[in-house]
Amino acid sequence: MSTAIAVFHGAFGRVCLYSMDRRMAPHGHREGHLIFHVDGPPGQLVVDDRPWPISAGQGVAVSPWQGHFYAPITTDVPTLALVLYIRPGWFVEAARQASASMRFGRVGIEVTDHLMRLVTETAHVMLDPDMDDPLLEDRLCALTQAAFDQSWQWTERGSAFTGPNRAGRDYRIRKAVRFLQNSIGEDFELNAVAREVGLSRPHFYKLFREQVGLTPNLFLNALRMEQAIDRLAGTQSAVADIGYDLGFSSQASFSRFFISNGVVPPSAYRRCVQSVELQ
Amino acid sequence: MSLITYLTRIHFAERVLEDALPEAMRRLSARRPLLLADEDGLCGEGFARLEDALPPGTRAQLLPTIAAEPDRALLQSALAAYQDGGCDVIVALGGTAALTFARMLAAMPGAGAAGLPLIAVPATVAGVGLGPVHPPVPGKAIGAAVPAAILCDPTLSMAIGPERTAAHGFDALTHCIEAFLSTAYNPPADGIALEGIRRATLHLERAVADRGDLEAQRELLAVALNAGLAAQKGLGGVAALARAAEAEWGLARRHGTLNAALMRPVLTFNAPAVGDRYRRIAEAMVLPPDADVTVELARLGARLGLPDRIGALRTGTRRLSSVARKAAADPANQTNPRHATPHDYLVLLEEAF
Repeated sequence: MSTAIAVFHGAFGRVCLYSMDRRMAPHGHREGHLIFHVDGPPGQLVVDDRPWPISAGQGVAVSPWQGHFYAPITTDVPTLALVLYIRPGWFVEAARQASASMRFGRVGIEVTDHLMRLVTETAHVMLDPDMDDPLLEDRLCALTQAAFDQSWQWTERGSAFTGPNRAGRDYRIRKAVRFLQNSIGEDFELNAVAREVGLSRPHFYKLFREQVGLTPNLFLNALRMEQAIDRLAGTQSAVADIGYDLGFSSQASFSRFFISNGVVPPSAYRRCVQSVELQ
Repeated sequence: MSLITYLTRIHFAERVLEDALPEAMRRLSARRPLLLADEDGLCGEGFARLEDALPPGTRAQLLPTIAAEPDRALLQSALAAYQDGGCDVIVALGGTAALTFARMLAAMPGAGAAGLPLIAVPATVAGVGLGPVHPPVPGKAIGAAVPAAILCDPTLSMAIGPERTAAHGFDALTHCIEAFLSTAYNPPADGIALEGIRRATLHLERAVADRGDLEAQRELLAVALNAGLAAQKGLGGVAALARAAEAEWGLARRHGTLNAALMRPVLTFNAPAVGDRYRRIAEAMVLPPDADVTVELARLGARLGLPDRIGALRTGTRRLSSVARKAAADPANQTNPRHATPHDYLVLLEEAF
């Protein structure tokens, strides 16, 4: 079973040290995502249906709303991984460079000595409960920046233009996104949402996936995970209540959902969370 | 040295709107925005993107489209909408009309001593929501707030057509030139203005010729930003005359169109008072040292398709002398390098006619 060793929340987003041996469900999220190997056997991340190694020399970078899931190579021994969920809004302020948005140029990141040092130092700080590290945020920024820059090297577009090349969103998809955002925890069918915005089911799924990056189901899951994490970390609400409010019929089904989308059970996540508020 | 303040939080990047807007609202602890936009802001997909970029669950209050020449009653009703709606931030998307309106709204007498927080999102390259404003509202003067944050996203102004882009871009260039020539002492602003002139020289024509050229558009928005930052020094006679004539002739919707035609007479009039500054502008424009910047700027205006005479754009029966009087009273006139009277402005208008 995968376990959380440490979870830090801060202005940067979230950074987690996970011991992982479970396959996860396909999912995506609003944050930019970086995963680095720290210890144990190599693992892999499947991004857009293609596996990428997470090993001593290789990390992965996942752009916001890009679908992916963790798949262990062996389940005998867990892989210790440093997992970053970087808030694009924080990065755009911290990075001090003219690139908007955290879209990475490619998934595979070569773990250079510089990156390795940053990963090791971060993991070290997270493993030591007594260590209060004023440089954590700087280090996460450097880590993200280095991975980001590298991901755009030797790509056709280079780093000159790094914003997402989004086409304008169809008004029906915009309407659906707004509906989903405002209806978390309510009982509705996605087919009804498709009808409501005036699209056939297949067309709705295809267009949604094209324009948002994830299918409507996975998008909805991402919104539920966001709320779950916010409430686990920021409130005293009982885990079962959080699950019910998000539309789960039992704590067990909420737990299963949370594990398959967020590595560990909600109660374990809550136990590990530390808030890092830097001056 | 005069007071120099630089100035507010500015984001500048392509597609920065989506990331920076929620962040700017978070910083201001704002949850209930009053959204406003003008014609330029509603051109293209900018407004839809802005609505989508609001944090989930945000309930926004919407103002009707801001007219090019809003009056005081409109400001009052906007303030009432803000207060009645329990709003805690103004988010303005658009060109000069929307950004000026929002800056004045934020500084309304009823808005409290600190003013209202404003996030400015430029949708043209005419301006970014900085620099002195020339209130189109008659009556007791209303100040203009400095936005708490400015989100410069060049992709937002791609939908504006070539003609307006030419006028907007030339307007930003004019502001850089006049800020550089202004009588105030502010060395960093001088540097910023010259850099804006250089970028405009290199990219203005490209951006007008190819409305798909994102790099050129980014550079033009950088010119507008430089113009806004440098305009702390104040502006000069072209701005004074253009704004007066636009107001008198109902040309506010075509802000910037007259600049090219006014530039040459004003610069010629100012020449005795500028020291070596035309030479330095020529350098920034990558011209030979002996080049005549007034001629070169007129040529640039012509290549951009801007009118070289203001006569054809005049509407109504108001006399030139009333435009001249207004121009002389404009705050921009106070920093024009050479003291200009209403009579001087009348002569300049006749030359440009």
